[in-house]
Amino acid sequence: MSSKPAVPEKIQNQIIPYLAPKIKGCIANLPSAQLDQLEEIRLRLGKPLSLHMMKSEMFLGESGKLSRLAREGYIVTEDDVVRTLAAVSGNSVYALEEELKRGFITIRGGHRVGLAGKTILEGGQIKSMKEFSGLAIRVARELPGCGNTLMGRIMAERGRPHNTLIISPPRCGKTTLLRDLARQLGDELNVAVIDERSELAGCFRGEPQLDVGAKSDVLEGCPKALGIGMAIRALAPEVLITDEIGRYEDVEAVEECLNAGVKIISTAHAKDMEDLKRRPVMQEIFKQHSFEMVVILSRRKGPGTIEKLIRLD
Amino acid sequence: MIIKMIGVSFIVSASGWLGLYKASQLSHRTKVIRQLRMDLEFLEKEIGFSRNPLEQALSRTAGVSCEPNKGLFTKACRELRSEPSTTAREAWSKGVAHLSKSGALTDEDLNIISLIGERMGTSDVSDQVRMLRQAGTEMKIQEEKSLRREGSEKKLWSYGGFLLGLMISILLI
Repeated sequence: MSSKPAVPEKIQNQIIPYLAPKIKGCIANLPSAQLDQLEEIRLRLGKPLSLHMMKSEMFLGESGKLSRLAREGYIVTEDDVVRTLAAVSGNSVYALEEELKRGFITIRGGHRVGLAGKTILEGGQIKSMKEFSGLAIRVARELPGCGNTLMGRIMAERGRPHNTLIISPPRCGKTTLLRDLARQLGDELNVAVIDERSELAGCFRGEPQLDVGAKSDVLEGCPKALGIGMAIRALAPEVLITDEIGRYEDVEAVEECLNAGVKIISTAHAKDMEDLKRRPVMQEIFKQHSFEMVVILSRRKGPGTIEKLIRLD
Repeated sequence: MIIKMIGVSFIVSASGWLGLYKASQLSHRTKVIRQLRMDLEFLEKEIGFSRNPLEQALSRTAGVSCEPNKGLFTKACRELRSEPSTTAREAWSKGVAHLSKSGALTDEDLNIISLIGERMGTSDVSDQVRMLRQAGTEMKIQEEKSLRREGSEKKLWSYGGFLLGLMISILLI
């Protein structure tokens, strides 16, 4: 497999070209070491341009200087928002109806652009968005090998993994870890990735932008409960990987998966087991003994720190 | 006498040619507007039905259009391709500027076409379709106006040019 470009290179080639010229001017001169730390670019209309770095939030000035002071940040104009949106949407907001309903667009490279603006409702559901006031461009990061430790611990007999649930509070690296597990398992087994929020594979026009394994099939933008059934019937997976279970309809889908003899690896938002067990949906899932292992993550030693591995069988 | 005859024939043919040219311009405008309405309908299908990205939708519309309207879509498409942060409004406005150089349309026609660029690509499908249909309806009114003008003025210009040439010649002799 060809080597993946480094994060600064990805930002230079896949994100900066989409920015409005003035924002581009501010950010293009950042040194590689700072680009490497960049997690998110936030454009808020009439507010200073902010960059979420790995360890802090900084404001970026017109001269390209980073500062902790908001007053030193370049003030984002309507023109900046309009031009950046024009670039990320290809001037085709009408072609992104599903993306607007979800509130974000995925661009080439799997980077996500979250949108802020006025929502248009129809029958109580979000139909579209307009009058955009902000954009949050999140840099997609792959950490090949971040799942190595866990891989060795979740594998069971015949080279297949245990049914595993990875839990943590937000921003602890669940999705990145899950993606690497998909990549490693997908190189050996038939894996179905149900990517409801386009975060795992970061598909751009149907093509996964992030490596989820050579033998993985991706169902993108598909609700988990529907996607699990569809994948079992149509794709004959040995392992099914999906992010963030937690709705009542997921309980039935997970059960269907187990009944079909398909292994499942998923994630859920929770601080610890107690927190998890307090949720009625998770109680249902545990009642049916769906998962054999629970992995608890934190950011204690950086995102993806394995705090505890609990065997439930 | 011969010089006078040559002079008269020169004045009559020049003025007659000018009249014929103006008459042909009148029918050309109607044809261009009619073609543009068809192009807008095609663009509406590209956006509303196929949901093709704007750049592709413009390129495909250029493919089925003919000059001078083809230039409008080709120019707008090229502008979008040149720089990702170019807005559809800017690209369309450059396309309209290109179209105006052909001289086939009036300022009133061009203003209606320019308005399409204001919201192009920036809203949902139903809004885009509504906007293009509205522009189509307005162009239909322009086409009818142009047809009426063609009916009333075409003959005037066709014969008027020669008659004017004759009158000038008589006055000069």
